[in-house]
Amino acid sequence: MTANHIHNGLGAAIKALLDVVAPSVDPDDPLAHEQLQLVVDYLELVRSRTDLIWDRERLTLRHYLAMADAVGPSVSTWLDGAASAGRRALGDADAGVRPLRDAAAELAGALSELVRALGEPDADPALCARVEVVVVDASQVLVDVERAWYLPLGFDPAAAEVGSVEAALQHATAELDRGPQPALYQGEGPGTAPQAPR
Amino acid sequence: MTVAGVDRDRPTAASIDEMRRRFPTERETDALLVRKLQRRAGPPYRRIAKDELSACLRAMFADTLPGTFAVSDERWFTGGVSKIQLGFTLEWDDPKRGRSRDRLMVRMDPSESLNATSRVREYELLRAFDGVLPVPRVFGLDPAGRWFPEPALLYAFVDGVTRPTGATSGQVSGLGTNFGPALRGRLAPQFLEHLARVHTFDHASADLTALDLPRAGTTESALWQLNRARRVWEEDRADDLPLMEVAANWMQRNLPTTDVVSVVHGDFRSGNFLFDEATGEIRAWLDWERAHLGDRHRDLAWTTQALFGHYGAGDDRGTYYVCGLLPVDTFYERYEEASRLVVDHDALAFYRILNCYQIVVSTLATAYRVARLGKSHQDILLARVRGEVPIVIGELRALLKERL
Repeated sequence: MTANHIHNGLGAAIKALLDVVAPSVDPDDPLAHEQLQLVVDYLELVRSRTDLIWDRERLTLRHYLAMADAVGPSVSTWLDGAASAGRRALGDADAGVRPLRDAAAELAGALSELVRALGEPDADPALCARVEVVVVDASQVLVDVERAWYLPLGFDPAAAEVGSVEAALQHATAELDRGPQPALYQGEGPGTAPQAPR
Repeated sequence: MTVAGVDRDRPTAASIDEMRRRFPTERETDALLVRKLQRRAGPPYRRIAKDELSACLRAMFADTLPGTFAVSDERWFTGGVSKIQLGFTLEWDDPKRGRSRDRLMVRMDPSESLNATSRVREYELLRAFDGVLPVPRVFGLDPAGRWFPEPALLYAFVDGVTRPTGATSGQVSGLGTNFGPALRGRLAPQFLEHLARVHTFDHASADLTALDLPRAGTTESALWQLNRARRVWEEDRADDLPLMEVAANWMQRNLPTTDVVSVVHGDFRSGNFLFDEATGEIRAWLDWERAHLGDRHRDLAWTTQALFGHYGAGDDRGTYYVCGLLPVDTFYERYEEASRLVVDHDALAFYRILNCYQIVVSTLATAYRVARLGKSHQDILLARVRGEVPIVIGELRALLKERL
């Protein structure tokens, strides 16, 4: 078994907080007790995700690249540049978490700016409609991964339908490998809004 | 930290003016958002000690109460995400009752909050709804931090719980509380009746100086609320999210007309009412900080938001319980019966999208900014609410897909 010192250290920190610190907290300070548990929960989340951070950043970059590809070239100079930089980062086997994250953020910024610009009154309505549909369709992949990522925090009203984060990353990667096929972005998935009667 | 070259940690006077120009909204909201940005580059929040807050209370009472008084039994309260809350007992000379002992609460802003909201509004609305709904009796207001480090509101402590004792759901601000079938049956009718009373309240006869009145028959109310949310997204975010821009575009193109201007509570959901666990009686409606005059569909869409309810179990697993209380279709039917107001599903669709947008603004943008700058007493909780984002983004995406 390979030693994982970050995992080990976080586990020790959690144990210290629960075994040593918690009993010493002023019983008349409910905020301190509440926050101690919140800290423990957050450390547990990080502990369970440390080995997957690189995979998630890479998946996020691939997600935005797929969105940019679906928009197409020559729609926005910023987007074209961000997509090129994103592909370079993705193709660099040595790229760590930070360059992947920065490249994804640049793409998200370029895509956001494009959508904002297309929302202006003088923009091309047909292009606006097409790009908006692309963004909406392509967004589900990251939603699924993030729901699994943050599931331990306990907010998901349909938690039973969410699988492991490893499975979510694997599924999303497979979806992105297949490319933008008609079925790719059709699934609403859990978390869909409760429907109003019509 | 910048997005497209904007330093949101240190906004300039020019950038604040730009926000005001691009996103005009209600006057009170505008003033609060300006204040927030003007103070952003200031120091992080320092936890105030119980004794310090108690000294603030004494200073306020020395200036405002007749006769002698004593403050005792100060104790912290948890449960809220955005405000500091201290309970205490006040012994004083009430001109009507004589020497009295009252259990009270003080509710104060941190240096920067998840929601830049108005204590003045809360004060005025709690006064207006006294006798109309179960609400805590207001006791005092420090609107500009004269006695306290930040604006503060004082009101009567109300006995009750926000969720069943021992419930494992609803631990964060009551989100997703499962009340169980028995309590559900007792709470749901009151919940609906109270919502109807809020929306049919005669606001014209109330003293609501901190709320602007939008014109009925126009899109003014929807635009003010949209501009508020878009402005905060611009002011606070560290991440770009293309889906949020699609939502903003869609809402700008589809602003609904408000047929009837109502008081909108703004956060009408489980977690924001106190009830007696033995009888199931709702004892008080809390957290009026997001209240405004506007379109009732804003509340209806908020109350039915996916985060606030839960799905049934076993054979009932397909049923979504609004705020853990009743199925969504039943909720709308009974609301119409109780209020004699119609539910317009196009308006509802707009406000469902706006509410998702607003929640993402708070949980992705504001929570990040406040925690990053260490501005609140609940930074760790603000970091945790990042976990809400994918759920709400998923809902926002599904809603937009229906409409695009």
